[in-house]
Amino acid sequence: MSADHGHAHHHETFIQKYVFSMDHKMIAKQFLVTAIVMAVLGMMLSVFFRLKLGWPDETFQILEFFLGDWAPGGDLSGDMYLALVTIHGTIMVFFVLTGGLSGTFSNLLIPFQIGARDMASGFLNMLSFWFFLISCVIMTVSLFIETGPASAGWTVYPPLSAMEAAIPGSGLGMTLWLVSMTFFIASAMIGGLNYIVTIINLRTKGMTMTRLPLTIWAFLVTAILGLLSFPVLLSCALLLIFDRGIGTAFYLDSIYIQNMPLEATGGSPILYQHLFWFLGHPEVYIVLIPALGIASEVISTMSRKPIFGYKAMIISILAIAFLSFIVWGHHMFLTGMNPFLGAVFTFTTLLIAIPSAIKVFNYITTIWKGNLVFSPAMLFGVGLVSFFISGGLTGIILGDSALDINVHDTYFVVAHFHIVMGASAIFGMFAGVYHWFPRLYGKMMNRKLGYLHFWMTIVSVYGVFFPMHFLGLAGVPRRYLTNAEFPMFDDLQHINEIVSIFAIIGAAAQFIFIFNFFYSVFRGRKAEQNPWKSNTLEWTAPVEHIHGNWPGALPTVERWPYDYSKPNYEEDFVPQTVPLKEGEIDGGH
Amino acid sequence: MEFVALFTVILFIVAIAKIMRSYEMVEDLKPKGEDLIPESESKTNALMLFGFMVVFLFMVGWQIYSWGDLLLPVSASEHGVETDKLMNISWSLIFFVFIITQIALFTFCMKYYYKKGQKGHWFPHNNRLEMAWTVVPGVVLIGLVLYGLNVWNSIMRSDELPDMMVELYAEQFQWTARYPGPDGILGDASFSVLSGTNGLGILSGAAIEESIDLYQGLSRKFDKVNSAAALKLKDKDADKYEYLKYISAQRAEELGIGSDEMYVSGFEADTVYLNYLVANGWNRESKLDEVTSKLSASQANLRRLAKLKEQNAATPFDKGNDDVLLKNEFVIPKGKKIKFQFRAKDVIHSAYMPHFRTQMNCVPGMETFFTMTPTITTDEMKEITGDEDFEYYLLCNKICGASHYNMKMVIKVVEPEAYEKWAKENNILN
Repeated sequence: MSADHGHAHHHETFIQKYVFSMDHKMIAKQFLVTAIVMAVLGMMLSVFFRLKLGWPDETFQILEFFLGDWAPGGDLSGDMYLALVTIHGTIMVFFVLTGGLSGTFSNLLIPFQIGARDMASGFLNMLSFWFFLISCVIMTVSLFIETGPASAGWTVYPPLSAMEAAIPGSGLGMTLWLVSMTFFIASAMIGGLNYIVTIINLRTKGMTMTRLPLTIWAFLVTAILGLLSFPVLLSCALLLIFDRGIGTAFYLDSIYIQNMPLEATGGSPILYQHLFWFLGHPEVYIVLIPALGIASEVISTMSRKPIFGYKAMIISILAIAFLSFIVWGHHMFLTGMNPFLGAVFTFTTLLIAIPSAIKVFNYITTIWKGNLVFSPAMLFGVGLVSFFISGGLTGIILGDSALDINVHDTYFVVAHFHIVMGASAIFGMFAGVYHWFPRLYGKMMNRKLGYLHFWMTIVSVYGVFFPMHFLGLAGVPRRYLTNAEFPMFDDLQHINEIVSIFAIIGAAAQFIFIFNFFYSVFRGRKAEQNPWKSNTLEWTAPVEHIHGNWPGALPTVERWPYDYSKPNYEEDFVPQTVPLKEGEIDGGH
Repeated sequence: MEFVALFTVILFIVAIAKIMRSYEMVEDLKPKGEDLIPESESKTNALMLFGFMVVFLFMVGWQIYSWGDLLLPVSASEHGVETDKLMNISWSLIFFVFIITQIALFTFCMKYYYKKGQKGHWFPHNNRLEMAWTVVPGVVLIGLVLYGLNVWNSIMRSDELPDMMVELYAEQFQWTARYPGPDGILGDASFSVLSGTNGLGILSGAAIEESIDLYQGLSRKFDKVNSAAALKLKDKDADKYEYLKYISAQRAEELGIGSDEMYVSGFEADTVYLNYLVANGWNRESKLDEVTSKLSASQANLRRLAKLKEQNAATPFDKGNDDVLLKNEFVIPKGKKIKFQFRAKDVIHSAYMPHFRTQMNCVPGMETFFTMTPTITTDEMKEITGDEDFEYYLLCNKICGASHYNMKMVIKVVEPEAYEKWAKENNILN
């Protein structure tokens, strides 16, 4: 695929071009559209349970319309509520923010920004998408089976997830969840391997590691994280499959259910949590780092100013990635594990705040004295930084074992991770879509609708998740169908109502984006080759997608990617292909 | 109706698309500048970002002002005072950084929006600045970590002996509190002797014998069905016969009569019930699977019981006979160090007592512990909060099934004298 035959015209059939495509640009679009479909699904599920949480005494015909017997008369049942929560989390974390985000932008940008004809292996790349699609389909199908989808929370802790007797969703629904995740893990690993190999091997002439755009650094580190942690999730899931199917007891011990003592004993439910979070915590950064990479690129370009502290940005990503492997225990402070171990995890967890702080300060300094062009992408980039600050800071409380005792598993946690991981990452994804839409489809998205989308979304994200801090500090546990059983929560109901109102507004706002997206794909204005006056290589390729990306020879890289507003240049950008002037020093000096 | 709705939505989308199209065509007629995006648009967005920040920070303040009182009242436990202090210090730091960085971010956005013909300031890095915001957060965080770990260790690794012990037992979907009886000791427990009458699986010689009887009976019953299934290959009619016998036994159990009486009633010959079951998705294969697995579970439990019986013969399990079990509500004395022991029957639960800043998971197969000293009685807290109906609660805080939201127990904290009296009345010694 990467052979030098760029402008050769192939006659591709419809199936080769649009379905079983091995072209990184088409695969990127396939990932993106699949992720959008899954995101709408995941979002609608959250609206359903927010209706119940906001107005627990009322019934909603819309719930009965969509959920049928799980919401008889429009009132959500306890089982189905947990199922909605579980599948919402699974879809958002894995399918949208892992598969969708990395799949779209790693695929689109890696070959373009490093100056390669395509991915190292086009076939594996195609396989990665098809595994992803299969896993999406299986997960969606699990919503339609009689006993309902997996409902043990997105972390599917056994024993709850191991026995159908404990909750109906742990029957066939959980089996489908595990099968779906197996495909997903295969997809993520194949994809990740391909990204790493491509970045290491296929950089064009002159593209040294310290001339890589920060997006590529982010994708590289993300892929490495995924490659090291996803196999652990796979083995974790495999042991769960054994426990469920063939009578082993890796995660089961001394359980008495349905008037019978379980035969399998001698395992430990806590083992599952250790294995799960060994993936689960790096997973947070698998979601976040690509978004931060996109933000670095967008903010620098649209500030018309070099990213501040390029090397510090790389080092902090590497530091975050390294630390993310030794902090998983902070999800488990209260499982009865040795307090000394808890102390170690507290220490390593709070260390992550240092590279995170560096990144935030560097973003702010990049914006300082820039010439900021507020495209929709830039707005979403700024929103990401704001969320990264708000959500990251509350991590200092959750990561501190002594404080975690009282806020663990409350709405405080829900607020924290939705802001720092959910909203930040999705804003990174939006920034990426608005910024690279011309590169993806050769069209421009409508700016005004983009502004509207941004403003409604940022307001509703803070409207939904900021009040949740207060619920958590008042002691409200997450995953409660209703708080009515506890008089101590009676005064808090109006907060839940406010949250639900903003959730509905926020969900509605996303349809503006979806409309804009599909409208622009078909009817959008034609894009120029380099609409944002950007330095990176993807904008030197022609607007139309051609096989091999560049007609003729590959571009040669002469400088780092952030020469914006460089002194002694008339224009405020200097593409990476422009040779250095005599005596000019490359890089951020 | 739904079609009309769908049709309306589609028409609406088409209409919007048409409006957009005409709007864009009008836009195209305007003279185009060199700008990436018109200066006015960037300016409007920049001002809106600043406006957003003002409203946002105001709303944060408003939320603190109007919801601050709805949060948990002062800590009702000794260690909770320390965690609250740590919490407040963390919050002041967080707020300081939050305000500074958000203001910087949005103010810069407003100040430096795109102006035609301008360039950005060339400022790619500055070692001193970067060193500053690596070292300062580092030092502050190390301080916070050390303080936090100090509090954590004092909570979790205390060497002091507790004054009393209480067990909290979690199952789908209720709590049970267990207090030691007059012997002052919580007896051992095992899931092997759990039953309808021994809900916490407290071990005793009698409990072991009862369970052995129970599981031997079950083994025999399941074994019969199992061998009936084996007949299937040989003789179809015999299979049917054995099978109907099993069904009628089950039906008899449901009705609460002996299976002999069922035969007397002529049920055995009646396949109507079986047909009814099959019609309702009653799957014979899976039912047999279930029987097989229950058989092997019973046999496994009999092996465990045999071991327990041996142990009992060596050193009798006699500490648990007098233990006192409570549902709905339990009582603890103010000012006494209480060690809680947590166990779970089926899935993971979490014992959460927010007013005492106390939480610990309850894990099947494990015993977990948390020690705390209550400092404010329920009556005192009623005065502090001004709420006459105030109660302390124990909640479940780990997803455990459909009625997760409904695992509730009231905790009464009383003066030590009142506790002594209550304990005596309930045959509790601590």
